Amino acid sequence: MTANKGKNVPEKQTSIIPNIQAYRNIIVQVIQSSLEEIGFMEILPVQEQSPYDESIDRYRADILIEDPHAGEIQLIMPRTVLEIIAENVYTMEKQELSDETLNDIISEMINIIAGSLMRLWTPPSQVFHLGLPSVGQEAFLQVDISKDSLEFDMEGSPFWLVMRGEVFMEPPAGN
Amino acid sequence: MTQHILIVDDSKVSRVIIQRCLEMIVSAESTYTEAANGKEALAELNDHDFDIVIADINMPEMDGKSLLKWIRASDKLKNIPVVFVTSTDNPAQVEELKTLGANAVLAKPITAAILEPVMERILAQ
Repeated sequence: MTANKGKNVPEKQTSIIPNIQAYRNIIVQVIQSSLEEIGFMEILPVQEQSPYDESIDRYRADILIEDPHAGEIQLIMPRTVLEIIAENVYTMEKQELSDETLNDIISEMINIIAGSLMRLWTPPSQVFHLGLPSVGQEAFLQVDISKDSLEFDMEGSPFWLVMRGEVFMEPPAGN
Repeated sequence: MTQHILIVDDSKVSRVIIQRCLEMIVSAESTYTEAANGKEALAELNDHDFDIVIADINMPEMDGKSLLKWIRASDKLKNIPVVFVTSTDNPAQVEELKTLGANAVLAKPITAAILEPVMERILAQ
């Protein structure tokens, strides 16, 4: 059962979450260039959300946008995607990877992605500030908010990005 | 010429990426020391001699901007080149950091191709 499918939940309740699909192409380009540039595998956008699969072992990282306007970006990656990245960065075998290493990788990924997105969403004359990434359990895909996520594919495994907040209500500043 | 390089970033994966890039650029005999924040970096800088500092900005305990201010305010450390590799760069931020004494500000994700001309310029000085 999803959170806002009931008749009593007004449409406006989710209005703080921008329709990131409107900026989909721009965001896709940012993600692709951010991750592919450091030698990772090819990143492809996925048009239709995969059905929720609770058997996937997922990791989540959040980063707060503190300035010039409030916002939040979330990155959700299955262990398989983080293992692909780890192999490319560390040349480490899967069995050598600890949770700490995987959390460090997803934290750095969201840091890079958030910076790349904020460069687009902030005028060049304005400094932007990001909080420190935090990691935690993933649960968002089970609720209706997941319609505001963008799904990507890396080597046949999905991963997701969610952008929330007033900073993303406007189109990119066009940097 | 061998270099002793201090890499400051709270992310281990980021420190690995930066070192991999540097290994493609500087002498194979160069040595690397890691620090996870500005405080750790200052301790290393006070105990050892470094040719260059490569640092992130957004870090716990002491951020890169505070680290830069400490370095530039110290008679012993003030001439060490400091290069920032950060996800929070934009023209306004770059200007502010250069005013504080940063030698260069580079955007993450960093690559050897981006880092090489900057390292050549700074180490040639």
